[in-house]
Amino acid sequence: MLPPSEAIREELRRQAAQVQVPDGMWDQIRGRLEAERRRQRRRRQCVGRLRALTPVWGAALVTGAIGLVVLFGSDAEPQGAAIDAAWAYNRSFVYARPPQDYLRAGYFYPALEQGSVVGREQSPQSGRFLIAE
Amino acid sequence: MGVNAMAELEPVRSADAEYDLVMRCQAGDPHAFEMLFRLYHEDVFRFAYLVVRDAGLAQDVVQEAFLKVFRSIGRFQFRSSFKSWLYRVAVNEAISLLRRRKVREDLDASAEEVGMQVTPAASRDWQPEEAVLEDEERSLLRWAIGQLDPVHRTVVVLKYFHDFSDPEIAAIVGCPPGTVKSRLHRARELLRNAMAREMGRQDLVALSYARLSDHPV
Repeated sequence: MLPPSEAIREELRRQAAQVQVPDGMWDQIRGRLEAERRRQRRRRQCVGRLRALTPVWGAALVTGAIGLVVLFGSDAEPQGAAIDAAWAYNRSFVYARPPQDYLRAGYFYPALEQGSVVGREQSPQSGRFLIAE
Repeated sequence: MGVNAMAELEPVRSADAEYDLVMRCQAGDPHAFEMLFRLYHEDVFRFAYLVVRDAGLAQDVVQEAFLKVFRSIGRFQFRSSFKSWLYRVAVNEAISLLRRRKVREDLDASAEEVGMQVTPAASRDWQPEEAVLEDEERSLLRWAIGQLDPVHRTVVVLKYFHDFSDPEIAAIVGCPPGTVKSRLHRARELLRNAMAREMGRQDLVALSYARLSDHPV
């Protein structure tokens, strides 16, 4: 015969009555919730600050890009000493023109990048030389 | 906290009051969180205790369940009652805690087999021998309830302790009402079988003891 529902109910009530609901649970939950809220607030503040800085970053990136063009975008032909230096430092490329010229011309690294041929190749557009290693 | 504030925190059990409290929680009112906690924490604690059978673990279940509920209360859309939702979270917490604990105990058991020194897992099983002075059948029932697996124990506690209806239990445990009925029936069968087996074993022990007494060494 199955145990009667009433007996099960009574037994569960008896077991439940034997245990005391502990104090302080709310304090612990509140503490954890507050800690999480603080963390989230800090995270939001941090994200807000980063967003606020975005224009500064943008400006810095643009300035940096312009600086790179100014630094490496010289039209000057590489001189013998520069070529030697490039070899000495084992650099892959020394550009006779700014790299973007070669990109625009569709004349780009893969042909030059692989292999260990050392020589000169001429840009079809500018007629300048690209020294590749 | 003043008397009025304390009175405000007194739990009010009605669907409207519950709705208001949940809405206030969604608006970020910290007092509403506390009132919801006070409204349900004792029931949830007793439910968790009856399922996990350890007061410390039950406390963990309550904390994790309320934290989960409070964290995601903003997304609660009143498709079920708040109480059902809370119990559903508590059921999941209790069962996953018991599964984690079982894995750990299995690992401890295998470690013991290879001769490692391990700390015994904290457990409080009701052994039939514990309740010698209690009514035998009652203590057997208590022991048998403890032997039920968590899934069956959960539906038994929700049905017989909390008096939830079958559809409510179905919503809480996430299965069709028919499955609730079959789980309840199966649980009672398991209780009956466990009790019968244990009574048979006890009879056997008593018989052996009587025989030993008849023929002292």
